[in-house]
Amino acid sequence: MCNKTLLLAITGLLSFSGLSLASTSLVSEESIATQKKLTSVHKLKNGTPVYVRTIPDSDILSVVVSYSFGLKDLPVGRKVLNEWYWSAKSLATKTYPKAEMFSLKEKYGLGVGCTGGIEFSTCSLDAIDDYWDKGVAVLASVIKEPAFTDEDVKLTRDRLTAKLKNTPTDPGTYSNEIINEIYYPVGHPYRLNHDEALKELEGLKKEDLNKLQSAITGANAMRIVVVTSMPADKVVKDLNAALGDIKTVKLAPVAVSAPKIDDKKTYNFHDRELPTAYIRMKFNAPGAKEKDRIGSKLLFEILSEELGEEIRTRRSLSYSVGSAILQYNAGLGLIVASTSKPKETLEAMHVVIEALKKKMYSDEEIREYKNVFATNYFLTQETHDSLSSAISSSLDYHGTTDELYELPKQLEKVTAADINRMANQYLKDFRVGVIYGRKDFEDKWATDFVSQHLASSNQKKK
Amino acid sequence: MKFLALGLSALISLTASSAFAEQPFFAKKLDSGLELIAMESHKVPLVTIVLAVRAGGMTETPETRGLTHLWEHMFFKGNKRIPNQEAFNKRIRQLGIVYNGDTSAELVRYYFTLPSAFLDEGLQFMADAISTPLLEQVELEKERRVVLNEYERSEAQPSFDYRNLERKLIYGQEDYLRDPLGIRRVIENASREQLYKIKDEVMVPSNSALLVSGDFIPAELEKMVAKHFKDWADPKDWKPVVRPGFQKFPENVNFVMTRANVQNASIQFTFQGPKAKSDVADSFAADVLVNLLEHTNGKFYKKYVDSGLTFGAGFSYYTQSQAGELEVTAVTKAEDATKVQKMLLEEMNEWTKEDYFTADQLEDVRRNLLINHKRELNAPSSYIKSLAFWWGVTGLDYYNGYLNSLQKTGLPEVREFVKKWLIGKSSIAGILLSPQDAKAASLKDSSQALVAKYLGDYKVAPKASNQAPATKG
Repeated sequence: MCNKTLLLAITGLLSFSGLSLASTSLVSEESIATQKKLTSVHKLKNGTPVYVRTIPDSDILSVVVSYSFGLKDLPVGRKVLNEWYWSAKSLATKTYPKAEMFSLKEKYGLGVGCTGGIEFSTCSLDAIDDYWDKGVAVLASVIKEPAFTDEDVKLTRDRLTAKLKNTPTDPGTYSNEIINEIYYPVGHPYRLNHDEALKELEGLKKEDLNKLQSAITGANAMRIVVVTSMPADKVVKDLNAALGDIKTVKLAPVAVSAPKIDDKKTYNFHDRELPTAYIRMKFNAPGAKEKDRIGSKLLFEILSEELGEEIRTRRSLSYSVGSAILQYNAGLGLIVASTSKPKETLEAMHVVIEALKKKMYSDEEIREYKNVFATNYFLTQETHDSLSSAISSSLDYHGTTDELYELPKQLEKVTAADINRMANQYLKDFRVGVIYGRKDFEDKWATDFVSQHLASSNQKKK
Repeated sequence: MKFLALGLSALISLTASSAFAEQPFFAKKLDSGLELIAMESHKVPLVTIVLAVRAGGMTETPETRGLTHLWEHMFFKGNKRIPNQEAFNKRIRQLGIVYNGDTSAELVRYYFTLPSAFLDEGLQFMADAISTPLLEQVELEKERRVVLNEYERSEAQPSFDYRNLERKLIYGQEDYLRDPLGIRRVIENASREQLYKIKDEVMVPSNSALLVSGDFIPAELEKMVAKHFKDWADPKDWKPVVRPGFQKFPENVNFVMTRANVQNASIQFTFQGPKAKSDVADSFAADVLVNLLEHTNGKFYKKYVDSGLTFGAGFSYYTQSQAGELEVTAVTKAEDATKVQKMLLEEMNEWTKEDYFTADQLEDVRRNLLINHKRELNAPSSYIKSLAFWWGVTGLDYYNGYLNSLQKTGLPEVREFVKKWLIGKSSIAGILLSPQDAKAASLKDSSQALVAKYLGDYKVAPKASNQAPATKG
């Protein structure tokens, strides 16, 4: 292979630690140190933290401004504001009316937009270094003074209405709502189904957008990440001029706990004549700040592989089967499959989960799963925008970039015994959602699956 | 910043320069006929390996319709070195490979990204998979069911019949050449012999390219490729597959199709478009027109998108060498569907007028194409897959001149393009919406006779024998 030491010095190359088929290290200490060295931490005059990650020899830049605000922070009746506000925010500002905003974006190739998340939301800028000045000016204006004109309020409301109405069209997308209906109880901070959102939207007005703008635009509610080759002092100086005058706001953080299982709401079926069933399960899993947050990422990588191996490779029951973990303050596990043999697929899922709970993997097997994980990890560092998003997420939950940079090192510590313990601890209390033709599906198939994995009934058996 | 300090005139002169004339990759043809195309990038310790084959719907027959796609699935099964898919999956994990493949009408791609430390092993893995697949009956039976579920997922989409009907109307008896997913009957009856035939017809080095991007040293890469691919050879007297041409584009067809669960109304006009290999200049003009119509300060965007008249509207051109299609689309409220359909048809006439697009808008389009190219290069793992697309569909000569050609395409060429391909030309015009919305908008489903006449092949019930196999479970 290439001389990595030399390249490291020149370009800040990341490297595996002498990876070989027999090795156990996923990333070198040198790489971790290099990433940290290339990251500098600053504060604007109003206290907003700025993290600048230098990428040498590139003229592309990416900025992410993360807000400590998301769906969870809005009360029932106003939750749809989260999506509406962020989509309307970047259309026009008081300094840049829409025609001018469009002109600047077109002329300088500026990617400026905002997205509402479950717990954190973002406004971002993608540009090339040459247009940094223009980009920062537009981004700052979007953050500080969105116009919310009558025309745009109507336009974004209509677009959002159409989008929400469209939710049931694709059965894969709709299956998420079918399961959310029973996974999140009414009033849970993460819950918002499309029909609820449509009703909420009817009762909201332009003033609600302006009120939200005032309530969340605070120096203490924001964090900025910049990935660039430009000198950090210039970046910070320009950000200070553009965003350093934002005042603080009063934040009222909303505590989130994982949804408790309701024995009467563990299964939801939607009748639709389809050539294949869509099965989607959700269950509680380690959240972003929990001790098992890193090990559980590997657990779900393994679960996904095992489901694929058994259900797709061995039994040919599904083209698309797998699992994933979503880590917010309250984490959740996800299992999905499409299949025209739902009974057999649910049975096979049961077999895989039970086997995983009993199995003690060899060190070699665990290392193999870690290898795949490491490739995905480095892929997130390939582009400026994916890196800025990854750094931002690390900061959102941990207040440090170490969580991201040291992730492979922490993952190395996960053992087969950890996987076995976590499988027994977390793979339970599944809520199951199914979309399929009524005549082709018996409720018993799903309820049996749920019963087999209910923590309460298993305790009774013991 | 240095660029802005030069002022707008300098900025414009840069866009027209040959800033991107030098491509960041090298290409070389091996003795076997296999092309090696590689792009170095040392940002992350990864390499992405793509094997691209000029195959897909365009190299099939009515009897092998969809089987190149089935072959793509079989690629990830056993070969002479790796006995079965379970062993294949284990090797994937050992090497830390993230992989996938895709089959379209004109191209098949197999690709994986893995740590650069495993480049040698990864190349061997790819070479074994393409040159010595076992294509075993037991694996075929298993994978057939997986592919059928992929088919069923497509069938579950409300637009399934619309897409198939449109293809049938345009390409008639030769629609199989543009349908990589195929039809259920052919997939259910696929045999090993058919797969071996596909292997010998198209999965050969003279019809393929190996593309690599990432953290490697070129000289070492070349040695590794020579070592691992040396035994992969064309069958004796191999010649590229030649399939029949297509029927003349049909006269105007208009229909309304209703399907349950559709929300809003989708409007589409499909016209015959340029083939990238034979209508080269027009294919560039098509891409410029696509970008001009997306310009957010342009007349089209303002009238159809920013006004709220539609929830999205645009013009698209998918670069292909064997066929060309131009699409004008919009999504609207059902009650506006007829009105918007009529407006769109009339709007195309406006595109030929001198004041519809401005010189500034064209300049913005040109500059953004260059900026987007920078962004593409910033992601070597996905850029190399795009490069595989250009290699397979148009050839690299086309791609090497692509950006400069787009920079040289002016508004007169765009207007000529509109006159040549759109104005007064026949099209397939359709509206897809739900039965309830159709009723409320006083529209009637007029597609039933067409569906009955043309989509019989898609309406065959699954074979009773398509049952899950006995397993060790």
